[in-house]
Amino acid sequence: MCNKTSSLIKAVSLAAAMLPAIAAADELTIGARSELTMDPHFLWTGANTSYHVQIYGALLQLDAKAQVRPMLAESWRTVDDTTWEFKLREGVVFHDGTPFTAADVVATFKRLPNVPNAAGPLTGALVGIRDVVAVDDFTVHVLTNGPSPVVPHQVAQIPIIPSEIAESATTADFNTGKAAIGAGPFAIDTYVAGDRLELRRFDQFWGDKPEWERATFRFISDDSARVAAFLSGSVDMIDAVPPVDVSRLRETPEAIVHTGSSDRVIFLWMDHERDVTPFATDLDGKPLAKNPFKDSRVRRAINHAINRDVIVDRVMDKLAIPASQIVPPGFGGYDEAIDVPSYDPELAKSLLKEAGYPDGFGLTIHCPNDRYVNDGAVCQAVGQQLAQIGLKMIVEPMPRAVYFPMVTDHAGERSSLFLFGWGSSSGGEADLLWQGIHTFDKDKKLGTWNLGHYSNAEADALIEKALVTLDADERHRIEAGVIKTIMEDVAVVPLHYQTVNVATRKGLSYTVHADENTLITEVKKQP
Amino acid sequence: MAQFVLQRAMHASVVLVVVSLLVFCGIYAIGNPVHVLIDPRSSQEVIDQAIRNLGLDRPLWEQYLLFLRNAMEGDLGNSYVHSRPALQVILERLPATLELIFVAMSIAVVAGIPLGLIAGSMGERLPGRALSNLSVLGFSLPTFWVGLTLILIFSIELRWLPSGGRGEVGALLGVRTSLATSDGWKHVLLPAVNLSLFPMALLMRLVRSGVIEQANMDYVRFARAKGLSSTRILIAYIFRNTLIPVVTVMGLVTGGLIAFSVVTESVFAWPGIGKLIVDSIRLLDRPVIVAYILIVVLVFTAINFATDVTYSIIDPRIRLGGANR
Repeated sequence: MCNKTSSLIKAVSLAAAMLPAIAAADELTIGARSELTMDPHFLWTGANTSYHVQIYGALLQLDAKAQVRPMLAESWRTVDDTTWEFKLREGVVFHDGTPFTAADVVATFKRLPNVPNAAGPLTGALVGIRDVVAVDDFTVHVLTNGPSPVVPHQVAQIPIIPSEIAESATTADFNTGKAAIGAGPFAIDTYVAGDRLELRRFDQFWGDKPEWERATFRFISDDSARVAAFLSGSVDMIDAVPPVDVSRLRETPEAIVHTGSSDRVIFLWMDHERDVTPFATDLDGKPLAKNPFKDSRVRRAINHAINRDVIVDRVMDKLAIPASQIVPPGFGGYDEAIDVPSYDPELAKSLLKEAGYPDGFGLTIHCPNDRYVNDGAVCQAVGQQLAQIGLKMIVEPMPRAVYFPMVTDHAGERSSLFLFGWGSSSGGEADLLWQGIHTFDKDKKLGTWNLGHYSNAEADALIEKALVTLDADERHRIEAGVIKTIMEDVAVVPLHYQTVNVATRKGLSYTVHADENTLITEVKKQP
Repeated sequence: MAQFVLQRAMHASVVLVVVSLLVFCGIYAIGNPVHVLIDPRSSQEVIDQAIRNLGLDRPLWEQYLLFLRNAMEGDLGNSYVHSRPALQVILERLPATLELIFVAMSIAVVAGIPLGLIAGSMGERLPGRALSNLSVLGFSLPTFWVGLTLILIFSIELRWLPSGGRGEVGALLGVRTSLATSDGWKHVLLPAVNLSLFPMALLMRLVRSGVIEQANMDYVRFARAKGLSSTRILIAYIFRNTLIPVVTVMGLVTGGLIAFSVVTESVFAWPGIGKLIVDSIRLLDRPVIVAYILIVVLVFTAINFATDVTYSIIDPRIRLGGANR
């Protein structure tokens, strides 16, 4: 059905004159996949951060390569092992004209743990941060429990609001728009739930004046509907272009597709811990007496059985990059010397035979089918490729509402082989190491997302050392060392790095951000 | 009449409680919504805090009783995702869906019934047969595909109509609706046509078979013998008698459309409750799901009630409350 429609779209749009007369040259309409939550401290998601950073602003912002740049703070440095100092920009005003000072920052951080009923509190971004105090009107100290090198990336996630609002406003006030006062380049004009968000330029913004006087985000979560809205000229640009439509849009003369690398790596977890794993069976269907993933030969076999080029080519329409490790190139800890595991089914079969499975075994792979780009299809491709080395595969894609509770329940059954994605923008480096590779340790607050229960004491020690190393280069060197070790040990099977795809009409340029944020300020009119 | 109303109200309350219990337990069985919503970069401590925030650390029976107690006061909980009362989230978007349904059913009725009368009275000749065959398309073409094709033709190719979204909202007789503006009508037309195809086909076939059945009845022969024209017989006499099944089906279909116009709303990005419920299920936003189902049950009950009352108007032989006289 979708293919038929897509090729119809292609045929028609090649023939049709596409552009309507734009109502006003300074108005931009964006078809966005995700809607926002009006209270900036209620639910921490990438989509929300994307909206709030443009309306409220944060101390620092992430650039296209997910590196920190000044925003409401001009400079930052460490004072001692447990204190970071941020010098705030002077002369900044909020949308209601009140001046921005350190008191607003302190009040904002105080509000974060106290938002009632918050399903995803922003305190999740502040692991390791103990307190935030004002030293004077334009200096703020962030106090940490121990040396914490990632504080700049962490504070870039927090939208700053005026202190009067932080102290008294409720979530309901934000929902009506009354409390939506920020210091970002755009202010909220109208919000219609489920339909659109209208923003207008804030003329007293401290930075470069944005080119657009008015910007409207229309929420269109259905992929085909979003592409249709773009082709019909109802919107000037769309984000999250589905890979299957990218090549067709590229052939449309009036559209430009901007592609950039994302911070997200897609990989497979395996059950490293249990002696008997529930979803690995013998060829008759009875659970295997011994967990095959505990044998590194089996893990290496799976690594080499997967043809990443074919997945990128056919399933992802060339809009991904085969992955060699758990961070994309350009992020801290990335080691160029590590190669993408080679596709070698013969080697895989011989490894399996060596490990004692000459006829293979039965295995179930689990994955979400509505969370990452083409996740269900990737899963099926992986299942097929593993079947070719002799494993009797069952592929189980499921909606994320069922999948995530299942695999994140550390005490429950979880899965034996399952798909996951991780975006590294909130650290700018391999933060999967401390949240995903380090042994699950509730007291140390590490390894919360170590869903395969991988445990490598040597890696743990190095990760903990990196966590307290404030010098970035030294830290990245340690991280690269850990990554080399765990990739050789096949702690996870890396698949590919995703890309970010945004389509604009001709005459607009857009700089893609690795953290997948859709930013109005990055849309520029071309002469 | 009063006894009838009371009886119906009691039935409805029982259904509401049972349904709420089923939905509550069902969602609980799927899993913990926190893991769907929380950002993976958060620590365990924050996850635990979120679970406490949402009240999900209490045992299931305690959560349900708390829900019942609040429900008595009209508070159906706060949406996990939207940070607003679940009821408010639904009621905000209900007008959009009601507009869409109203226009869609109007199109279905205005087109379907006359077409059904024609198909029934000219059953053997070309128009009759052509219409019957066309009605099959109305059932079998998938709504998703029809919607995208309508967008392709009228929005992308011809540029007559917008491809999605709801139009400007104005005030009509004191009610805020997008049907008060021409921009609103431009936006509602395509999705309403899309949604109307199935009920239109259904109505057409029902009316057609009703007409064929009635045409053999004695009173029709007598009327013809009296010298009345075929058209007058059709419209004044036969039509009224085909209405019972038509009203029944229209009631059910309207209820179904209100509850489940998901596909059309998704394809046309129409900000109604169909789209809301799908998004909420995907994110396990339990308060919204429960509130939504309860409202849907109420809607169906109300429609059933209206249908029964309409019966007694159409056919004076029918007494409300059943045949116990």
